[in-house]
Amino acid sequence: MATEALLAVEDLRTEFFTSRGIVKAVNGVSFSVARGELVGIVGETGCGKSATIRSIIGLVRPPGRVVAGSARFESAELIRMPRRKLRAIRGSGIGFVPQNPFGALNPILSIERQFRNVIRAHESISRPEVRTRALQMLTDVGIPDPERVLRGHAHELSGGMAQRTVIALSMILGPRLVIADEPTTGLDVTVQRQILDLIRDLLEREHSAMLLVTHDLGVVAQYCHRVIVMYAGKVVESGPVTKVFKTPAHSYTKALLGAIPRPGVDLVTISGTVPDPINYPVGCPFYDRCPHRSDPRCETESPPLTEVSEGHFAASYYHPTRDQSINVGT
Amino acid sequence: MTVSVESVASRLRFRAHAAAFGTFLRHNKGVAVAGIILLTMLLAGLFAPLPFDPIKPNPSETLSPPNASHWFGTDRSGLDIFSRTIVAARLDLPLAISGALVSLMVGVPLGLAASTKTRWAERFMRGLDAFQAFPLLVLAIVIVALTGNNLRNIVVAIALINIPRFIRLTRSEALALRESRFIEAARAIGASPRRVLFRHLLPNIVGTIFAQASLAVAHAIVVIAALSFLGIGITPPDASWGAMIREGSQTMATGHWWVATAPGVAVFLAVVSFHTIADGLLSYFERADH
Amino acid sequence: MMALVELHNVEKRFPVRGGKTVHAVNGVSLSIEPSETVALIGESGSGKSTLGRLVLGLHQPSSGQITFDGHDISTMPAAELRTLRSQMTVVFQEPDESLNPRMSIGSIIEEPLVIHEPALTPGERKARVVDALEHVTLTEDLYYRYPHQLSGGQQQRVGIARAIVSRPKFIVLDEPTSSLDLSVRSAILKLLARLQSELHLAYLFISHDIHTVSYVSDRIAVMYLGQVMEMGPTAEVFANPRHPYTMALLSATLWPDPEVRPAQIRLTGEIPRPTELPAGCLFHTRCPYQDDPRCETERPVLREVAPGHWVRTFYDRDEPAVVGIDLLGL
Repeated sequence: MATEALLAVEDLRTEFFTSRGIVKAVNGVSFSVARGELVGIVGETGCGKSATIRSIIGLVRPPGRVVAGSARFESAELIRMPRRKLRAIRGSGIGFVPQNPFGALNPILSIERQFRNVIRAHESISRPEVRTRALQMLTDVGIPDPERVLRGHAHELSGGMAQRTVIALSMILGPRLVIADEPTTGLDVTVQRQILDLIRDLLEREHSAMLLVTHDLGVVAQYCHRVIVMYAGKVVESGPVTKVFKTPAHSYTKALLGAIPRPGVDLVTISGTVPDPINYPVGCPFYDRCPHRSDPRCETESPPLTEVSEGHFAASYYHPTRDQSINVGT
Repeated sequence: MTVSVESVASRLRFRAHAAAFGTFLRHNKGVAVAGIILLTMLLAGLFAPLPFDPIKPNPSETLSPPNASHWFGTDRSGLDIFSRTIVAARLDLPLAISGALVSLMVGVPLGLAASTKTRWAERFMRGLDAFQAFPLLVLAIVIVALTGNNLRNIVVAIALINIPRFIRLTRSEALALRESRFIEAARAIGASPRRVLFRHLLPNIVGTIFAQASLAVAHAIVVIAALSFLGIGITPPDASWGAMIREGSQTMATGHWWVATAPGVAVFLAVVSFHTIADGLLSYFERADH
Repeated sequence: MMALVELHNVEKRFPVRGGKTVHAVNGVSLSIEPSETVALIGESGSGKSTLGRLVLGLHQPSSGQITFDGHDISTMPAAELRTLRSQMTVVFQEPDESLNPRMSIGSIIEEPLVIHEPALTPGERKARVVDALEHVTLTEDLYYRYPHQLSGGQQQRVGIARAIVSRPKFIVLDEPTSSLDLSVRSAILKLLARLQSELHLAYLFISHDIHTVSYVSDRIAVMYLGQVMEMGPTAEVFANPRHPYTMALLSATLWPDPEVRPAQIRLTGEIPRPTELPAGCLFHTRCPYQDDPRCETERPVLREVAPGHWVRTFYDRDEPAVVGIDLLGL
């Protein structure tokens, strides 16, 4: 683990206790984020990516519980940190952009009031100063009439405007790490591009790092330096985006990249379904659906993350040494 | 000749439903208990042998507290409270159920009709608003008082009070459902409006309607009790929980606490049971959607 | 010879509260030939979903004409229209919501037969249902199950089975894969392609996703504010986009290849409300070019710029595509 890491997650395990059994949503996840680095966590429904970041910032509520592992932010342990200390970090150290902006905005308070609450929780500055900073931030996020937005309320905003406002709120204190959970899912393509560009510009300006959770491989390819691929609660591959996309080392990543529709190319389909999170099989979680299964250990031992090339890790016994690189896009 | 496909299909379907219901009962023991309680009350009221005659006054034993022979004591006329509590179920429960059923049978079709986007529907709902501006309990009392204390009028009164509920509930459920994707899909495959109504809309409303019916029965029991408490509806010497509570409230002042207790508990049990069944029905139908 | 589906200058207006009118579709003309796939692509407010429903006769157009298989459905009485519904069917976006939760899978799929082929015996109906299930690679044992017991992918297959059981000529697919995970999406897209060739189906494929559309469609129509802005063979439109909106869409698309970064065409402002259509070219309020005086006053008409390739704009580009994506290369 890098000693300089801004965020270091080690063997994180989060479980949800349901009537059917114990759901192992996060099943041993380790990764790190360096200063200024843009890291994407990508995976399909149920892979545990949202649960992972919620575990990191303390948003896991019963019947869920972080049962093991650590998440250190600037050498402070976040897991089981007392609520008060966590609140001090949230906003100024770590900013959070959720998927649904209207869930994050208080419907009753004016937008200006919400900015005031956020800023005053960490700094004591005057109301006019809050206003100035809020106006500046709203302009930075590309809102054409920031005065009106400040005076108004959440329900008056369109989806894109609301998401920009939430981004402004979460970044106004200049957090060192921004965690975004599917921040643009559901938005139009053109709006999505605008919002992601804007997030990246703000991050660069503040030299902030980002942990971005998404199911969209395109988002990761265009905006992230490093990517973490999750499947069945585990990290199955991680590394620099170019390496992972051009020379994927895990069969699941390969299959996922091959499943992106492109004209004239035979689409890859993955047979079978994701394993039951209450009853994970012994051995590699992808075993049932893997086209390779070349190693006897595949069925009995869950492969650990091993370094395939510099900075590029895969949890697989299958190491394609001379594999074709996948051509995606043009 | 082999068994036909449809009969196999319907048997399989029945077994699947029965199994699901059995599982449901196992997980919701409250509903099972409530059902047993109500069934016992009704059957006991209709068929159980009573230790004492519930309507023949016995002047020698008036107002005796609970003892070995009169488990719940006696009232002012010397009637055994235990026997009367049990036998009251013969009137109170069927009346309440009939009233609720009538309001269901009238209210649901009206509610479905009111869920269409026609001018009639708008006007009808405004009319219903006006109707509901009356305190309906008072209306029920007036009706029964004017038209006579017979059982039919009590049922009518209860139905009147409950019909608006059913109309509104059915209408709001139907309105919401009409926008759903599978209704649109049904239209898209060419289903006639009649088919959409009976095959798609109704089956998805039935759950909440039955739950509401159960609540309506619970409410009706209280209404009947209130009516007989006020001296309207079921009158002595017929046994009715409400009338018994009425008498009991008067004797309470003189320290005879037992006269109202047993019928009060009976009303409470019946109402809670119907509420429990309503909750159970709601969660049963909700769970099936997931 | 007449096309299977033809639209001539179709318009659709909806009155809304406050006396306003939503102009959902504003003069669309297009045609669909047997066995071909035409894609409608656009963002929110483009009118593509409304157009899909107009084609199906679920709405009646405010003006204009729609014909299906030679029948004029724009003014056809409802009862007569219903008989045509065995020939034109639909698959919706939300697989779980488009199936009646109280009906078994078998009943759901056989319903079109109950309605349109009442002469069939129950045994014959069941055989057709099983045949449909086989076509969508589902097993017969699902016949007695209920929708909530199936996964999203399976539910969508059931929706497709219902759409093919009556042996239609034409299916409208409204974002059929948008709610599905990538791995499930690719399986469904392959299935749709196979069914099209096996059953000689024409598709109107409505989507907002460029990748999906590039894979499935022969021809594409780009919609904005209820009008078709550009239309033509998919590969041609993507390689040589002539409308600024198409260019913006393509440049905004996030390609899952870190090394592909098309030049950014940035749109200004937000999409106008459909109750207040701009004067002149509907796109001019956001267009980065607007170098023609007619943009603000006149509505451009569709003109053919290459065989089968039509564009509705005053913008006339001589130089090669700024942002054309060559999908057939590599």
